[in-house]
Amino acid sequence: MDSPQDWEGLYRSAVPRVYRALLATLRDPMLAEDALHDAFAQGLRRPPAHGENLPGWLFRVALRRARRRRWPFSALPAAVRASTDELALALDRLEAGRLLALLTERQRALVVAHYYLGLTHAEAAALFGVRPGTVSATIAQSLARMRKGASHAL
Amino acid sequence: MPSDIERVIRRDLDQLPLLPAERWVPAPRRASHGVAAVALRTSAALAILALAVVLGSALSRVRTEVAERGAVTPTASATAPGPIERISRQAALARIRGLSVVNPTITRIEAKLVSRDVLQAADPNLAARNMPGDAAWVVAVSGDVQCSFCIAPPTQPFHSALYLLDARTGDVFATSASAEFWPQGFDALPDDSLAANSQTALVHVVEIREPDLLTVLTDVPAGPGTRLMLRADADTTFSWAAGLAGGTAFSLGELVRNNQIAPGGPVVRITFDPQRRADGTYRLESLLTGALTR
Repeated sequence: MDSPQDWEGLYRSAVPRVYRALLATLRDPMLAEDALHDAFAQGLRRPPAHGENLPGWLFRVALRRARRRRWPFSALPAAVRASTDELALALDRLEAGRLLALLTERQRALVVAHYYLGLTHAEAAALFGVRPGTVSATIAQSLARMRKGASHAL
Repeated sequence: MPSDIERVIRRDLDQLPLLPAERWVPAPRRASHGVAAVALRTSAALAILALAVVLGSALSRVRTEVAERGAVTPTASATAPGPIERISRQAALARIRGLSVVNPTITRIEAKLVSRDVLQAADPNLAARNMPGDAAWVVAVSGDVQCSFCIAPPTQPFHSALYLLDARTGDVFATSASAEFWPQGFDALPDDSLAANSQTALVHVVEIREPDLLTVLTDVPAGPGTRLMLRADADTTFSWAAGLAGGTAFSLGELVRNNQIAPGGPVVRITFDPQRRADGTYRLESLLTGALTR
């Protein structure tokens, strides 16, 4: 990658999948957009290593940035924002959106990384800095929870 | 089953609408590179340096002249900083009201003093924002809020915002905005600026002595017809309600001038510290007029 234009081209090719993965994980369109922008800026300053899984890298960097950027009081039950944003509503209308809503954000991140971005357990483990066994266990727990929630839906 | 879930996830997430392509990357910032920009910054730095030298010399001469006239030199005890204290509620509100670009029209603004532990429970990611002290003023704003931190324009207008201020310095260290008309989580927060055994009562106003003294008739703390003298301070909250509407005032005088409180007028709701002070007054913590209209 020799220039910012090269980076932007690579980034743009990955945006559709990464943005949707972020939206499904964070469940907050504005936060997903801001986090994506942060990951773009991070790539301009310090691009990923050659040969690195670009969607996975963008996803991880954006998630990390989102945690720093998240709005205060997101965890307050009373502060759950009844977002009227079309994107958030679209997610809630989808079966996958409802299933993923049953998971914690960490579980969602690993499930989306594996099943949507196509990362192997080993790749996800390397990206998120955990052991492959942790990824496997987390995904298994997530599946069990979704399976229970989807018993009538699937 | 995993394959079913994988299929559902792939199928559904691919249906999510995308951002418009022009919002995929942040809006370009003003160029800060180039010879002209560097030269401009260097010139500005040199100008500031020169100004500092000139002002320093001038102040030095003034100090010498004052010393030669036998002026009193401040002692260490007079100039030593006192214990670290927090800024007042009114100071915290003033900081946020001063953000006129962000908050061009504030209809309601309130502040609560909240400890680090409570904030941490409310927002597990707080540590990442480097909360500077052990307490913060959380200021809630309702009005037309402009986004001060958005890279791209928000997808919907903001009607409320929260600001977290370092309680010692008043510096804003976190902020949020929402399309809701009042940040709901705010009402659930405790306010550490209130006394632990604060009392709330509906009272009749007997006398108002601006800027800070209020005499009322109430049933607490000593039974019906108790006459209380309440004194407001920089931590006192003043607000008004009229039906479903409501707003904030910043002094007792403002409520008086707006005919929202008067001796013999409608009852008001007060919260006060029941600890009687040496001058016979009680600290007025909050005052809500139009209490029976809401």
